[in-house]
Amino acid sequence: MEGLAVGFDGRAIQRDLSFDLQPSERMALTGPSGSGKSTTLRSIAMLDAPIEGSVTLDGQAPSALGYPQWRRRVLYVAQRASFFGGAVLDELARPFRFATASAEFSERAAVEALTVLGLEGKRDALVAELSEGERQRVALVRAVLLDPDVLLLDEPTSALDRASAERVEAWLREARASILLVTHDDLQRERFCTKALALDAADA
Amino acid sequence: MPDAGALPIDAWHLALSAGFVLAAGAVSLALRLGLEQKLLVASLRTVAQLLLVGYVLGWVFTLDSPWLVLGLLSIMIAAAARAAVRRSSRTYAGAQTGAFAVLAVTGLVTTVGATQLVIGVEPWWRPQYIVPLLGMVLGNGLTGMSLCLDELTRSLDEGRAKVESDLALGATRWEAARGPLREAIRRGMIPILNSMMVVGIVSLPGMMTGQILQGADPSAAVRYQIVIMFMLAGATAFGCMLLALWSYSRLFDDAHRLRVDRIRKVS
Repeated sequence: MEGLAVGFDGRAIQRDLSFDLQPSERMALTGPSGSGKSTTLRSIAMLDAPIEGSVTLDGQAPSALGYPQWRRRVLYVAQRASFFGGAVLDELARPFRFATASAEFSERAAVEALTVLGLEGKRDALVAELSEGERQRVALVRAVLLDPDVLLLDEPTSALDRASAERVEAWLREARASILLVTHDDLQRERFCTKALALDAADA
Repeated sequence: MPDAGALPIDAWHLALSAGFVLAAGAVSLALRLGLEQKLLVASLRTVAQLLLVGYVLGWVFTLDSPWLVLGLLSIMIAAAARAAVRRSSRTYAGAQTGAFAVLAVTGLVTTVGATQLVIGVEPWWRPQYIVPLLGMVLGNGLTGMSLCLDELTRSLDEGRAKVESDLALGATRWEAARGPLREAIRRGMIPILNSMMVVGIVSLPGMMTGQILQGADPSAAVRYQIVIMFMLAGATAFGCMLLALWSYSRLFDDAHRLRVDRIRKVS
């Protein structure tokens, strides 16, 4: 990522962000509220348009890769994930219907991941009936099953207790993807991330 | 149509009919419903608009010029497009242009199609047929299209997180928009489908009522009405679909992003 500036309506919140992320690196993105952490993740995922600068994956720009394909490979997970009123397994299978999915949905892989995260009994439960913390984990499973190269995670364990958060971290370490993680938890940054980028308060 | 004609109404009797509205206004005052002012404005508008349109139609019928008819049709389409967009609780830049183009295409295709292929009117622009028929198509079309627009912009605005969740998981803009588009088109079609279900049972449509009052054979009036219901259904369906697609093209960009920043609320 080179010289990225992110913000809204053409006004930059952050300028000149530059970093690169190697395979299996996990980088923490920290900073005060309003410093543009979420906007940075959304801009990298091309859900918001970066104001300037460029982002590439193995040298390829989003436009070259195709935006939907870019997002499948550089996958953003919002802090409060959205679902579509289905049961857990249906929600996990849903993105595999998109044209960009690189594989068939594997129920076995899905159940395996749910089991590791302590959700084995929830495979047929409606997502709407799960707790906030359970939904966060289902959203992470949904993302990881798509086998992205980079995961952009916005406070992925904010609704989890320490033990569950560590379980998630251990599972994410096994995933192929490099990770860019917004976190307010210094302990999580220290135990899980291999490097960190601190954003300053928003540019005036 | 036999030209027996309905019994004429003179000015005095017309004024007498205002008694219905005055009575409603008195009830509103007595019960403090606060409706009397709206009722007054609505009544005055009804009188003014209908008298005006009566003069304009009389003038257009006498002058018998295709250009004049075309001009009148354009004004009707523009007014309908404006109303369709204004009734929606949210809009975006370009909605009105889209609604105008869609109403022009669906309105003219169905109206001219019906007058030419079904009724066989000569010449095609004969205002006695095309003006009231287009009026009905536009009236129904704008109701459906405003519901469709309202539902689509509302679900994209309020349901932004869902749409962006799909996009973030690799959906194309089309895959992410399909659900909201389908719902919006269904919503726009509900009124016309409902009225097709009950037509003739609960109410007699205005045009059929008019023909029967004019002394027409009810079975001839019914045939006209069937043609009209089919026209309305077709025009509304295509109107909603085209407007939904147009809105889709404006509210998603080439980077497969949802542009809620282009949606604004109408107060």
